[in-house]
Formats: sequence, C-alpha cells, structure tokens
Amino acid sequence: MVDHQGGEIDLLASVSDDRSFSNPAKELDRKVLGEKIQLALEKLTPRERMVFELKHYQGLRLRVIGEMLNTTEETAKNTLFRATKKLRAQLAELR
Amino acid sequence: MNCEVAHERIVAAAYGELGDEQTHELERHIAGCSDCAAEREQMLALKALAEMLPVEEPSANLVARARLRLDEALDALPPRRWYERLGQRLKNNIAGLQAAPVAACLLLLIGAGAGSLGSYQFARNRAAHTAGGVQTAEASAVNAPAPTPSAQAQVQAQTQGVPAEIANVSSIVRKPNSHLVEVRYNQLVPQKTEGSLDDPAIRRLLMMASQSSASAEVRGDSVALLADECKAGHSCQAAGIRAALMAALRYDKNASVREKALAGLEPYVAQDVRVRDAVLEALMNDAAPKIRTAALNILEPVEGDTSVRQVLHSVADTDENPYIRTVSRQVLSREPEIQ
Repeated sequence: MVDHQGGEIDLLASVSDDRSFSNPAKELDRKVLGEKIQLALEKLTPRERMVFELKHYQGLRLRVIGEMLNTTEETAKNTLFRATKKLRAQLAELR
Repeated sequence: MNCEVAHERIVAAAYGELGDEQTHELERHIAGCSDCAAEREQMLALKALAEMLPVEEPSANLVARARLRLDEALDALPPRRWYERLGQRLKNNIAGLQAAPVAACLLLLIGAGAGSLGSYQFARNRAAHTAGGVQTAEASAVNAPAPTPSAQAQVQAQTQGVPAEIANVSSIVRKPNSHLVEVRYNQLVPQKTEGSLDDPAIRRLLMMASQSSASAEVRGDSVALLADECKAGHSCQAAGIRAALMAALRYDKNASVREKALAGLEPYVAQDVRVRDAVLEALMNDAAPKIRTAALNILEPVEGDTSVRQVLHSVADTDENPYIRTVSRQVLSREPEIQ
C-alpha cells in the first residue's frame, strides 16, 4: 500500500497492541505480583479471605456478605478491616 | 473521631460502604491528620494492587452445568417430613408475622363458631332428655276409645304432662348419618267419661268391658247394665247389645257374669232363634247348675220348638243334676200333645 507521498506504510505498526503478551516484561511483573497477592491471600483465615474476596472481587454489599456467612453486617465490616490490615502487612515490601 | 475509628472507616469508605455523613466526618478528620491521610493512601494502594490479581470468571457453560447438577442433587434428596417442612416454614416466617392479626381473627371466629355449635347441641340433647329420651314421638292413644263429642258425654283426659304408659313401639327409623332416631309408639292414656246409658259411646264402652276386661267385677257390672237395658227394652238391637250378652253367656268364665247375661237375654228367647240357641247351649253345656236351671226356666214359654224339646229330652236323660232332670221332665210332660 502506498500513501499520497508514494512512501510505503506499515499497517501493522499503526495497530496498537495492548494484549498482555505484547509486553513480556510487564506481563512478567504482573504474573509475579499476582502470585504474591495469591500468597498473601492464602495467609488469611478462611473467613477473612471469604469476606475480602466477596467484597473486593465480587463487589457484594457488606450486609449481603453478613447474611451469606450467617453474621451481622458489623462483624463482616470488622472482618474486612482485619483482612485489609493483614494484606497490607504482607504486601508492604511490594511498594 | 480518633484515628482507630478513622482507620476502620477508611476501609469502609474505600469500598463505598460508608454513609454520607460519616464520609464527611472522615474527610474532615483526614484533612487535619497526616497519619490517617497516609493510611488512606496505603488502603487505596492495596486496593489497586489487589486489582492486579486476575479473577477467573467461570465459563457460562460450567455455571449452567453446576446449576443443573445442583438441582438434580436437591431433587434426589429424600422428601422431608411434613413436620420438618412445617418447622422450616415457621422458622422462615417467624420474623415476618404480618399475618398474625388475620390469624388471630380467624382463631376468634373458629372459637366462637365451635362454642355456639357445642352449646346448641347441648341444649338440644337436654331438651330431648326432658321429652322422654326420644327425639320425636308421635303418640296416639289406642285401646282408650276416642270420646265422641256429645252433649251428655263429658270426657276428661288425665292431667296433661303426666307421662302415659307406653303400650307398644310400632316402628323405629334411624335417620342416616346421624344420631337421630324416630320412634313411633302408642300410649295408654287413662281417661274417664260420663254419660247416659243410651249414649252410643257409653254402650260401646260397656260392650267392650263385657268382653275384654280382665276384672270379673267390671265384666259383671257392664253385663248387668246391658241386661237391664235389654229388659227395659231400650234399643237392644240384635247386632249390638244382644250379641254382646250372648258372647258373655257363652264364653265368660265367671258364672255370675253368665247369669246376668242370661237374665238380660230372657225377653228375646221367644222371638230370636239365635238367642234361643245360645240359651239351649247354656242349658246343655254350662258347668254351673244355677245357670242351667235359669236357662230351663227361661225356655219354658217356647217348648213348642222341636229343638227345645230335643234339648229338654237329652237334659232330662243325661244331666248330672237331679233337680234339672226332674224339672225338664215336668216341662216335657206338661205339653205332651205337641210331641
């Protein structure tokens, strides 16, 4: 393909590639980070992990989480607080 | 607000779980507290960091299969007993008792209904008891003849309300699917009547008494009254009183009753053949010599009848009483020319 000045154009170069494997270094960082988060999560008690994942990854309301775990909203909130504290302690060296 | 509370609220705020008012308070606190501002920075950093962990969304196919198998597993569970289900339902609904007022009204209505029904039954049973233990009774008096309305006859029933003797039970019908029984029975109601001897109702009573009364005295009284009527010539018809007297003469067990009947028949021996036959039978067969003698005396005026003569002959030959034999011979010898 030729442009109006007669020069050849590399079409592929103009297509942005934001797929993860397009940047191997970034991808590696991401993977390592993920493993570390995974490890930190595994250090939590099952209940703390459940509350954190339901809140953070599923986005459920604390009231709903409390009902699911047969406790009150207040207890769920305290559990979430403990979980974030522990996670921050675990992941402190990453920042 | 101290920092400890603020730290908790920072977490809640980071996940959007803090109310507007509390968020405002928190903002004011953080504005004047560098420690808590740093805390919030760390919290948001953690939140951003945790986002780095990729969350695997399960494929729709897997979710569908899991749901299907879950349904099957639930279906395969043995059905729970009704009381278990009831308990579960009660437990589920215990918080939401919106229906409580309705249920209370329903209970009240049921209670009132049951109460009135019960008292109605009770009252009915008591009424039936006082009425003699039967639900329906259609009493009719038999044996006590119905009094005829008459100027002279004055009938007085026994005082109302006194239970009359029950003569017999004629039918019992049970109403289907209930405790009700219909019993038809007849009562003997003692009654009293007064009237002249010419009154047909009184005469009927007397004739009935002459035949069916258990007491010989009553039979004797009634037969004597009827015999007097016949002697006096007061409408002593062949079918009525005379027949009753003849029946008394033939069949009554009491000799004095038979004697009275015989006396009543005396005026008709000459004119009524059937009376004559009855008297002849009495002369032949009666057990009491007194009756046979009376019959012999009565028959004297009608010796001309051949049957009378035959009877007189046989009586003269066979009667066990010597006096009767003698008298009958005398009667026969008095009229030899007739033969």
